[in-house]
Amino acid sequence: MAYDTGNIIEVKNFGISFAGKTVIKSLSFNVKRGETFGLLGSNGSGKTTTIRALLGLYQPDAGKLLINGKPFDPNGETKIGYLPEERGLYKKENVIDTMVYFGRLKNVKKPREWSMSYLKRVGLEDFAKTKIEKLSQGMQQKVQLGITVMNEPDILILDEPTKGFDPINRRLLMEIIEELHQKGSTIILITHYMDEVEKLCDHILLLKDGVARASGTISEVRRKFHKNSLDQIFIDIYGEQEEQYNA
Amino acid sequence: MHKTMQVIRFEIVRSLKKPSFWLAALLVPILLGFYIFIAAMSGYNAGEALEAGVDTSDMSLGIFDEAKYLATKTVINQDNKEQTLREYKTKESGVNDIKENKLDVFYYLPASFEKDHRVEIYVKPDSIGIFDDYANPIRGLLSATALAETSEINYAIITDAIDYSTTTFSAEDDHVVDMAELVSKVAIPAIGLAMFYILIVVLGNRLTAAMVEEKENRISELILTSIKPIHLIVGKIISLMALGIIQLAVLIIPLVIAYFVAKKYDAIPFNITINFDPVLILEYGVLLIMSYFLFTSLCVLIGTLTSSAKDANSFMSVIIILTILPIFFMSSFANHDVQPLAYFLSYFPPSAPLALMMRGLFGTLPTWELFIGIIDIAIVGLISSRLATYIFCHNAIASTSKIDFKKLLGAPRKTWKN
Repeated sequence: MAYDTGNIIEVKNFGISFAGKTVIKSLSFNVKRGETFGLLGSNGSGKTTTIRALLGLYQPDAGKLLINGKPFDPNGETKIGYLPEERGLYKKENVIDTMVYFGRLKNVKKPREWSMSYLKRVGLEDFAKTKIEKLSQGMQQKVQLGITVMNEPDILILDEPTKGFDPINRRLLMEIIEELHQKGSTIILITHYMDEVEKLCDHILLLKDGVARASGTISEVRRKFHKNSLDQIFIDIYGEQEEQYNA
Repeated sequence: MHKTMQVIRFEIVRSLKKPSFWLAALLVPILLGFYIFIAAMSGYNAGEALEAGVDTSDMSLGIFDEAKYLATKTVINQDNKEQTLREYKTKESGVNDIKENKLDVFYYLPASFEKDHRVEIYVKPDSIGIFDDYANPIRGLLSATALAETSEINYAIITDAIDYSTTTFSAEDDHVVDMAELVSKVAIPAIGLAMFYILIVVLGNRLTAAMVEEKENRISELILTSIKPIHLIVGKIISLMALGIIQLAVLIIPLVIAYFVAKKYDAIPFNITINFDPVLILEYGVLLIMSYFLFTSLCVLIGTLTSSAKDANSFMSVIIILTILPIFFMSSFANHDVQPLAYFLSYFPPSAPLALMMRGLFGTLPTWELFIGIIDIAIVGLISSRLATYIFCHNAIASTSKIDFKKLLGAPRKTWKN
């Protein structure tokens, strides 16, 4: 039976806890095919945990997390590009060997050719044989970004993608997101930067203490909170939390 | 399977490209070769020194036998020519000739010789008098005199010149076990023991480091969206096994070549021909492979339970100590009646590989026990690798936190299917 609800991602009643502490409580949301979806929340609100559970890295205690109607499978048909918040590379390996390895794991056809072309695009062609540990932080970020998008993913998940990025890499990232979006990729963006959200996202979900506090298009959320600025809405929601902590 | 192959390829190629791998792989054969070279050179030099050091054949020799013990004063020198020693009437006259460089060597047998068994030797000034070679002529004279005084057999008994020939019968078919057979039986467990010991020393830390690398470098999340944890860990285990086999090949091939070259030029020590029994090679080959599999599995298990190479190394020390435990209790193995401790160590999985090989070396390991030992090792190796795989699948991204065992044990229903 063909699966076509328009939702590429479905999260239903997802719950998870660690060492007896509930991190996510019955969370449900959908992401439509081809849209850019913003997953927002303060530190510890459960954004990364939700993505890790969606990608099978954590096992849920309750609920279902589906991609194209099925639990995530690295060998499945849906191509995923994931730039995690915690990111690193094989420090002792050179750039091209690392990229080719990931390319082969991602079933990229001609991974060496793709990698060389990408390195040329981002100005790293002379560093192809350089060990990763010899690269600057900004150069390493470019390599990580290349690895994330080298399989032209159907779903691109970016967890705090601009964290630590210099303005040049940030612009490169935005270009790549735009290109993939144009090609029909679904983008999930986890970020604290509301300007990025307002510029890129079609739909957003605001998480607080593992519970969805708001969701919808940016205009819908603005209307619900009677605010024009997402920054202000963020402060309103998470300010309560700050006050509770301070109290 | 395709992705597992990619992991194997990546892991093997990058290890082979590292100079440290070859340094570690070649260090043992190089040190071994160096040792043999030094030993051979030392032997050669010692022989040369002995031959060229003090040649008394061209020397003038004198003697004063105050004890009147010697039956003859004529020796066969190093040129196989008879040389008669010049006789002196007093000790002083002989010593004076030495001092005045009129005589090269002077022997004095005091009147109390038969009581205190002492011969005085005087050599000309500036001679290297510490060399025992100066004693050779008088030793020859004393032996000849002693032999003349007693029977040849008594002389042989007293001088420990009896050839004690030992015959051992095989317990299986009662045939006489010769030296070659004995060496052949001992050689295979000994080679297996040496290989395993070298493997654990050289590869131990590399194994755990390879397992924690993704966690330590925060690569896990990036890679696990491209490959299932089970495929990643299986790829790693297979590549680590393959690297061990490459390491063994680097060790074995030069030894095999050296053996055949030595055999061709008839340079085998003691002229012993080693008859390698294919069945014995197969048995100990399987034991070696299973032992390495168990060791790899234990290292991998530690790698999955820890979050950094530093943490893993402390656990590794415990595993290595348990593995080499039989060496500390060598006396329990070097005995025809196998001690209870040796039995325990033979079946206690971490120490079983070395214990079994040591019992093989001392000839106290029956074939049926070897099979049981191999099965014991294989089962524990499989359980360890299975457990490591399970933990890795549920703990692959815990780069900073400790493993949540409660969560781990309560997660059999989860996504990753093996």
